[in-house]
Amino acid sequence: MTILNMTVLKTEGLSKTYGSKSGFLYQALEDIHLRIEKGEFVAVMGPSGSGKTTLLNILATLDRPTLGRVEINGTDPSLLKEGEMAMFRRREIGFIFQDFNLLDTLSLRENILLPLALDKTGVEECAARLREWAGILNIREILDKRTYEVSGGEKQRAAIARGLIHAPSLLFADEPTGNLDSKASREVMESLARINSERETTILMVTHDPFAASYCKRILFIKDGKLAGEVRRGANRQAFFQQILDSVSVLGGNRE
Amino acid sequence: MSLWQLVRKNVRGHLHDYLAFFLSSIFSVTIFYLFSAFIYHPAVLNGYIYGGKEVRLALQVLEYVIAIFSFFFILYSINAFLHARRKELALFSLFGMNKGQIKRMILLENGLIGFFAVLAGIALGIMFSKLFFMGLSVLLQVKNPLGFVVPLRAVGLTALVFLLLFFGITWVALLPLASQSVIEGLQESRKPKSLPLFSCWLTLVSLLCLGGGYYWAARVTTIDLLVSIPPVILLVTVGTYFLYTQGSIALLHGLRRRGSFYYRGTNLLTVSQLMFRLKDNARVLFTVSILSAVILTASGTLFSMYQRTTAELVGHFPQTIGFVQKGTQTVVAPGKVEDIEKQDGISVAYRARLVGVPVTLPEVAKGAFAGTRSLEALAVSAKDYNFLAERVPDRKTATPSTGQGVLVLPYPEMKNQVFYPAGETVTVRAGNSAFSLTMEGQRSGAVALPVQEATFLLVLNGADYQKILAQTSAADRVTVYGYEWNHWEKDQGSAQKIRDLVPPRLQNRFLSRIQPYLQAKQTLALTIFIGLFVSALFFLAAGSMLYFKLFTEWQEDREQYRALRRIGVTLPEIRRVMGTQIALLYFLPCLVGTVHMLVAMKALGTVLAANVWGYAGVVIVLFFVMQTLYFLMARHTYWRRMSREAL
Repeated sequence: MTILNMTVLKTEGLSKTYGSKSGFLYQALEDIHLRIEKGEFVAVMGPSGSGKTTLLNILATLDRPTLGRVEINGTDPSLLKEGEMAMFRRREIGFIFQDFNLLDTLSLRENILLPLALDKTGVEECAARLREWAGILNIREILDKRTYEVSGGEKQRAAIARGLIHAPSLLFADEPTGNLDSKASREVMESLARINSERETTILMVTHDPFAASYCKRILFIKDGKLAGEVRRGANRQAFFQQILDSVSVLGGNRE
Repeated sequence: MSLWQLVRKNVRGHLHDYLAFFLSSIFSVTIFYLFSAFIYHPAVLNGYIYGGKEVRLALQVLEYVIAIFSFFFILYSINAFLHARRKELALFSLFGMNKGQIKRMILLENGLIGFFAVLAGIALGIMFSKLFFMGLSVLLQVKNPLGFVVPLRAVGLTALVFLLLFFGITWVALLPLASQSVIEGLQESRKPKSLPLFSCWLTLVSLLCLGGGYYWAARVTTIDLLVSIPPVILLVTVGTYFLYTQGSIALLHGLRRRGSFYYRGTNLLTVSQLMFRLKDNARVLFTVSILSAVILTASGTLFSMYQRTTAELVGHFPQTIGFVQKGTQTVVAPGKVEDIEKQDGISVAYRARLVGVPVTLPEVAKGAFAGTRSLEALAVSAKDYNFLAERVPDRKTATPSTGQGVLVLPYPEMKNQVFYPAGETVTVRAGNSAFSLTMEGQRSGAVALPVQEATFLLVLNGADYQKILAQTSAADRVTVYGYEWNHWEKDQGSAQKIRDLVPPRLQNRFLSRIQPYLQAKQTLALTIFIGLFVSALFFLAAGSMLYFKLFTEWQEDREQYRALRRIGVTLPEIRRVMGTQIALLYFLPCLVGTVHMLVAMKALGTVLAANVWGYAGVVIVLFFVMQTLYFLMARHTYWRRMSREAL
């Protein structure tokens, strides 16, 4: 079977410099080139302060690069106006966060349906998609619960449903297991891996947890704002996990 | 860092949240000082000001109102601040401050704010006191306006009352802090809120109370007015309270169940957030609604009473000046009146001269006047009567045939009192003779000064009138004179000149409508002038409660909007969600207050037998314009801060 490669995300010479009034410049990202194909599951790893969150924010259109360009599905979001940018983010990108970012005032069902409601999708369409994703993520029983009534793992799975219900071309995950215990982490990562393999959903995850990263197909390492190597997963996840640990200790600074 | 430095930094850091509270407090202090300054003004104390005693009493009563109101306002505000800052206070104790130090810090903080509010309030009060005195002097028509003084007793009283309020309330509000542990405080802001629920029963109670109160008020009559007021107020207050705590939540749950509406656009966010916001703010909204209703009703009542004075006076005094002469006596010689009119360049609308014969009608059988032994009236000719009925506003002419009579009652308000049913034949005695007359009906509202012999008129056909006129000697005849001037409100001087010509024993036969008009106008203008300050105070306080409620929930909102922004909610959408919520906070209580007011005005209209809707409309429009300004300001500030810090 030949895989027709389609580039979902591409960056060229991405740099981000923060300046302060006193003239002190801080280079958060330096000349990042990367390319992510459709159906990939990529993790970006690096120690704290390495620039991985800055990278994610720029890729996810939450921040703008100082130099270089980003292309998502052929569109450079930085050329969009504020309103178009938000619409682009809403349609093309899905998001999950370390702290879930679920709204306390809404039930899980309402949280998940929010992106569809904002796009004024019909009620039946909404119900069908909700059924589908609730089934995939195994959260059907808890849809009417409120955020404080469910566990962290359940919250994150609901957040994944919210991030994917509008069928985005790319899902960004920012430390999705950062607030979870090991059991919940495994559940969440297994869900993500399954969704990636069964639905060819492209996922880009930022993490410093080697265990979470071992579920990915490819890992990019970042250090001091620069890309510092990459590993690809073979057949065995245990071996891959070991490989990740080795790379992390070579890079050093995995102090967390 | 000393405690004092910490206090100053805290106040500066929370300036945004404190601002509305601070400004409202300054305003309360200013009004309180202005009232005190009048009360303790030497000229007022010494009784040099005519009418000063009454105004002084009214202001003293209002000072109590302001003090009580300020008590609740400050209590509410300080509690809300402490609640919003519980986490911060817990952090301070985590860093090793003990309870005593924290209490001292808060006491100093509030004291500092209170101190500056009192200082600024009194300073503003002193600045504006001259203007206030001038306003009152004009309204009281004092020849020498009240001079500028700063009565020390006024300064002392104001400072004492408000400093006591600030420190006392802070001290009381700090009491529950003692039992709170550090961890409770730290977790305070993260406590999840459960979905607001409502009880069907209480929602029903709310609707029944409101409906019952409104129904009762709408059916109120002059007679049961006083006994009706307390239960109506109780019903409406209870109904309003449950309307916010239960009814609003019930309504939003209803909206939530309507999927096609709820899951469409930003409705999902607006409705769900409103549910929490309304529940949290139910008490404030309730208070603001009741305050709005009180302000609106009071202003509407005053305004309609003011406007009605003129109409009522014209109804009771058909001509600007008038007098009734019996036989050959002279109250004022008509020639002299005309001389004065000419000298003063008065534009005369018309002159009235009604010659009549006093007659006696029999006992009144029915109605409120039943049992009146006999009724004295003045028989006049239809021609003379109709001449005036066509000129006095809202009067009907009368054309009795021979043998018929029409009774004219003195006041328009008497239109529902039937003295003699139409068609009844009565025996009328004039002097020593008597004749029988069939009553053709009656009119209400005098066409000439209704005093003495001319209080009631009996309109006769020309022939009948000539007959009884011929039987009466000139000494028994009565003549009513009336002079209607086009710009009568301004001609008090001329009316006084004419009055001076009336011999003292005949003063009761002469009346001018200018004097009572000016008196009523003065009283009402004074009431409105003073009422304006109190209304403005209530209005500002109500708005500021909503304002800082908005900012004390700032933290939670910021997190929510940040999350929304990240999942791709556009700025205009966030703006719409926010704007709708703020608009509802500001306009919902206005709307409820307005409905209460309209019902109250309906009752007032019944009692005063007048159309009050026009005046109510003016007051409502004014109120909504001011509230809109407040709303726009709050939304602007909120949005600016949100877009700077969260988006």
